[in-house]
Amino acid sequence: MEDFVLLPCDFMPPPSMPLSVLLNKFRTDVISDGSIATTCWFADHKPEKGAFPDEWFTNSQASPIIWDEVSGTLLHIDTPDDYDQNAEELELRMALLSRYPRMKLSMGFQDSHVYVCRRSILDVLEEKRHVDSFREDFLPWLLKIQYQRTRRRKYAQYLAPITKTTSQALALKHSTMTTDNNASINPFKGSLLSVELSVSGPPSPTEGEESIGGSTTFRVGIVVQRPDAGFTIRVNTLPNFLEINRRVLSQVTYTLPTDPKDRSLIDQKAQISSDTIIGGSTQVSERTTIKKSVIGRHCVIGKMAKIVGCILLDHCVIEDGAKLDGCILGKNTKVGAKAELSRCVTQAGYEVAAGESVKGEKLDVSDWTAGVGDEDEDEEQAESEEDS
Amino acid sequence: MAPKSSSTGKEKLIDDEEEVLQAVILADSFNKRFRPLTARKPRCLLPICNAPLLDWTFESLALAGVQEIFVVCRSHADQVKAAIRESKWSKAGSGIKIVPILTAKETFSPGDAMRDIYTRGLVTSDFVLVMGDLVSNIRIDEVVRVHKERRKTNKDAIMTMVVKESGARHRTKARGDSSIFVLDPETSECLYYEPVTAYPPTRLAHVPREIFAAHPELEIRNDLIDCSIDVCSVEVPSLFQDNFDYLDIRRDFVHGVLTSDLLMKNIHCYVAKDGYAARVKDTKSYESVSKDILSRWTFPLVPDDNHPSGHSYDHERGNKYFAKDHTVVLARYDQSPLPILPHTCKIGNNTMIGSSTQINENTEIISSVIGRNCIIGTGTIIRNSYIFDGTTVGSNCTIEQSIIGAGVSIRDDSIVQRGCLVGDGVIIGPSAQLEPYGRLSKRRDPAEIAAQEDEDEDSDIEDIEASQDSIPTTLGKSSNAIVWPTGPPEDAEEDDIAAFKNERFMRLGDDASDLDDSDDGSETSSSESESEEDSDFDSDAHSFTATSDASIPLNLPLESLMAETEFKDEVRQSLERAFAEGHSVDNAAVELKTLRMASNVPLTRVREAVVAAIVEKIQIVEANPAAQRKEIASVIGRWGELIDKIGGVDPIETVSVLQSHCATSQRLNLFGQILAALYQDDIVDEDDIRKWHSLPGSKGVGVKASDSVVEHLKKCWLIGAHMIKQFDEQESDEDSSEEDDPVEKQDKPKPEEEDGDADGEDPEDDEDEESSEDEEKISPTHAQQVKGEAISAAAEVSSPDESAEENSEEESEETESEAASRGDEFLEGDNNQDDVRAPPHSTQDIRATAASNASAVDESSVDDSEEESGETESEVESKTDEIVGEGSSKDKVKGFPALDSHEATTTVPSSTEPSVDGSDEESGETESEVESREENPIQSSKQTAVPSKEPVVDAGSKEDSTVDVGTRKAAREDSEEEESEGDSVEGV
Repeated sequence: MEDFVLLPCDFMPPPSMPLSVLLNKFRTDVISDGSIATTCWFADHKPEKGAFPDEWFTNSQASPIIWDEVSGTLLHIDTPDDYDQNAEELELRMALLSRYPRMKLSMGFQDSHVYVCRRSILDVLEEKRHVDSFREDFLPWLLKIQYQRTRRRKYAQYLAPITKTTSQALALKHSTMTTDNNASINPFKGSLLSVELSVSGPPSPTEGEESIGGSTTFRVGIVVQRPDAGFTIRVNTLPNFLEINRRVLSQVTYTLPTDPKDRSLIDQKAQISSDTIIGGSTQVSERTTIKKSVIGRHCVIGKMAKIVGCILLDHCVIEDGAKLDGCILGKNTKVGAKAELSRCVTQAGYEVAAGESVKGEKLDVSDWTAGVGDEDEDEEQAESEEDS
Repeated sequence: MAPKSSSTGKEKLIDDEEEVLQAVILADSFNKRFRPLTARKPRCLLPICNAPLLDWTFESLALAGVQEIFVVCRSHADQVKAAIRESKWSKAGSGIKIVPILTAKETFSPGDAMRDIYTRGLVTSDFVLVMGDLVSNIRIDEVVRVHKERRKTNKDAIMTMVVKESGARHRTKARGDSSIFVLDPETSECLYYEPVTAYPPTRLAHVPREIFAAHPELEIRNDLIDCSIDVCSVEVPSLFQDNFDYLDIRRDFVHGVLTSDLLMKNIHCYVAKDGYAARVKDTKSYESVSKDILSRWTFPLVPDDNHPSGHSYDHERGNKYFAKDHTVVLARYDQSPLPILPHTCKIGNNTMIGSSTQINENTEIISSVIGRNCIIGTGTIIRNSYIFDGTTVGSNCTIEQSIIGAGVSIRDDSIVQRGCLVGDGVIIGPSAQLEPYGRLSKRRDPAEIAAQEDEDEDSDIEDIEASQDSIPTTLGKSSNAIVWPTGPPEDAEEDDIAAFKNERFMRLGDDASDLDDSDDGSETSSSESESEEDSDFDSDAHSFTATSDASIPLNLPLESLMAETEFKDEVRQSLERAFAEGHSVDNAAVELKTLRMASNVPLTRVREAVVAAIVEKIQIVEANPAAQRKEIASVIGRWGELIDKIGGVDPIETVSVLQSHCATSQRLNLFGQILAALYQDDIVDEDDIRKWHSLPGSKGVGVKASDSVVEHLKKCWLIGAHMIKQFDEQESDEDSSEEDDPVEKQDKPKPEEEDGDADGEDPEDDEDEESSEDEEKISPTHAQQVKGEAISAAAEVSSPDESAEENSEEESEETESEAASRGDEFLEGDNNQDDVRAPPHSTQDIRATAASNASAVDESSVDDSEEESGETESEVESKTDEIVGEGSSKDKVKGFPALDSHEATTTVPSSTEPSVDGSDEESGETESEVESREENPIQSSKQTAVPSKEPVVDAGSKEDSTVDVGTRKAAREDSEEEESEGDSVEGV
């Protein structure tokens, strides 16, 4: 019976943006003009071209969004359906354009999938079956309610139940601190000096009706996280997974394990750079170099191995003289002696033959039964959590 | 302020290689919005706040430090020249050189004027281009500086448009003529420009996606007033010269440059945050600019200071302006601080009164501008009106929101209602009554006519004069006025009417509320919007099928589809001509290609149209397989190659198109033979047939058509299977005996043989009764009349049995909402179909209906130049009925293809396209039927969700019929779910 927050498990906001920013905006908007939800979009982190093999990317085609900067209102999300309907042009309703005459459009923002929602959203969701994804289907649809009158009429009963909290719209209207989104910055408007000049003002019928709905705009707020606001990422692609690991590593300093037992597993002659994390019970043999990497627990790393910029999940076995560069190794991956992997992703349980040299590939286990753990959630995690 | 700005401007220019800043004023309006005020005077010399527009423009440019001004004038050029000669700017020491340029009478658009500027080589550097009706206090010199700065780094930045920030609605922003700008907020480069018209209402703005990639963030702005102040580089006139089709500077030039892939030029915007700029481009903006001047938004250009005509006015509280020379005679007006007498004339706020004007007692003047030397009689009320110099208004007159020209005489007791334009020198009254938006001009005397004889533009004045023998009595006895028509021209075409309606948004005093279905969400736009929703939630919508015929959106965005519909029609006619006159295939192909270019339709449509036409060309020969085969061979032999000459060869698609056409045509049984004939003529080869055969769509899989169509498709597919089998046999040199496919009906052997079976079987079915009935009437010549008869026949049948009752009910319901758009024929066509498919228990009636239907079919086949009558080629009885139904409705709907084709194209998923399109050019009805059928499966699957639906679905075999009508609309219309659900119950 309460408003709720819907959020993903893979969103990493910068410290400068606590959730309270969204919550505060949500509370203000709900009270002032009947907003129904608040979303958060952040500047897309674009890895430099060619840094990762193409197959690491899923269809991460950014879709354009349109929002109103002044009032912080999300207005339109271009869906693949829209694209299919008209691949050449983005179609925008004039209704939207006349309500928000100055809109921003950008392809460069990604949905954080953090939504602060009114309880009534669930009621509408109940009405709208056939919605598969909140983000792909429901949200774009929800945005249309704010400017399409018929839809508004139809869903108003769900969105604005009678027991609505008293709107503070009137009070806020007289406030000098809030920016009223409907009364746009228009010095000209004040030129209507006398009532007789009705022709010169905006046509009254439309105006009147709008002001009726004015207290309940059913709008969806947006908090836009600009690139300069700090590093924001959703770990839903392999490059992002690697990227966030890199960023975290840059802030840690490696110290040898305090547990003597674990410590004994790490050879004195192994070179481990400070921006590395090594899990417990992992064995690192002599003259092995590890830089900028995350090594899981219970791994066995042979002699003379070289591991740079890698993520090794638990129970990996790296045999002597293997070279790994920018790889993500699933659980139980076994890399044979003197094998060379560069920018590879391996499925859990994959075995790289000794001496093999692979670059930029996704290595799958042909036999699916081979050692795939139940909680195998490394690279697949990104895709699976998308629909919440 | 003015001297300061010009001096700073000069300094800048001296820095920049001492260039003289040039400006070009297009002093012609190129339209007739102000007529008849502009009948004897160019628009730029119309006074606004008692100074000619051109002077306001000069003043605006002088503020910007322009040193050389070219005034391009066309109509009444001598007057413009004289005005320039006498203006204060041509006096020595003004620092501005004004050169009038007389352009040819053939200059009909700003584009022509620009070409003229180019050929004369007037401009030598970046210049300011404005229209001759500009009132502005924007610092154009700043714009020029920004423009030049930009040009230093980017030579392709050819133009900077000055736009003024306002709101979505603003009184100086004409609703009929505004625009959407897409800007890059960083560089303020204009990336896209879309003009917006109020009528027909622009519902969607289309932002090309290609600009997203290059610009991370864009601004889509609908809050900008286009001031028509452009800072152009020298290339701009030459671009006009290169592109002779550029007419309007915005719609054609800006749009053209921005969308051109070749030019690679940029246009920027200068978003003026403050300052004022507006154009007097129509009567409505005349009013709003007047009010803006009076309320001093144009400061420093205000009546009491910097008045362009050099008059001086006293500014009084409430923005009242009186000529300073104290020649205004106000009847006991309370002007002095010490009232001597109670004043009797009332001067309201925002009013301006020129010198030597006399206002008599008990007069009320509110928010108006009165020129010089006017006399306003006693007891007269003038509100929101603009009266030019030297006009006399009698006593007890009322003038509301009108523009009265110079030297007009309005006698006593006259009433001028809102929106009137009264031309110079008109005399009306006494007791004249002017209707709203009346336009009057003075009848010209013969001398004047002789003098102006060479001016071709006055031809319509002559027409108007000629059309009025006597002065309307409402104008008063001594009137010399002629009344201009207020509506759109009688011989107006659709475009003109639209244009006229759009102009109404720019007309003084016209709020066009009858046209104003405001774009944010009134009924019309909502129905459209919901259709979008529908596409999001198809199944929702489909579950409310038989329903939402309550509100048919009459103004669907059909325009885009018109082309396609027209195209089909054209192709049909073209091929009919070709068939009838025996054109060569090449000639026919050329004609088709031209048509395709003109209509800009995809190749598939052409193919569909051609295949359909050829198939329909084949005459059905009854009970004579050999003759039938010969007929097919001759038609395909003669015209078959046309299919490959339409601009692309795609035999697989040809087969698919053929299949889907046959599936909805009466020539279903000819499919195999036609295919064989195409194979014989090498239009399709074996591989193509195999490939087609392997397509899922060919089997009817994934085709969401009704059962019968799917069944037909399957039949065709099976025929194809047989052919392939034959190929296999030939290849392997086996002589295996031919086997019927187990699924196939026994009368479906390989194509060559099938006609015998089919033909033998059919005649004893119910069609023969019908054919005997009407056959004798039918001759190829009166297909049209017969059509009407068929309809009436159908109407007769549509009452007796229960299903028919349903239908009539439905019909009446539908008629209310739909008749306007579709017409009754269509409805009846529907009902026929319904009857035909009614459940078996009403066989008798169905027979009767079928009979009448079949007669209709006969006629339709006659229409297709076919003399044969019976539905002999269909093999199965039940099938026949359906085909009859389709055929009959087919012909009737021909007149209304637009709506249906629209539905089909919008709602049918791509997988089913071939089948739908195949029938496209035949008839709209068939399509909609196909479409409704597609939805049926969904519908029946949805029935649990929508209990009210069940009876209909339960009716089983009726599913096509009853649901049909609603489905169509529901699909298009959208999820008015709740309401429509209720409707559906009633409808059933």
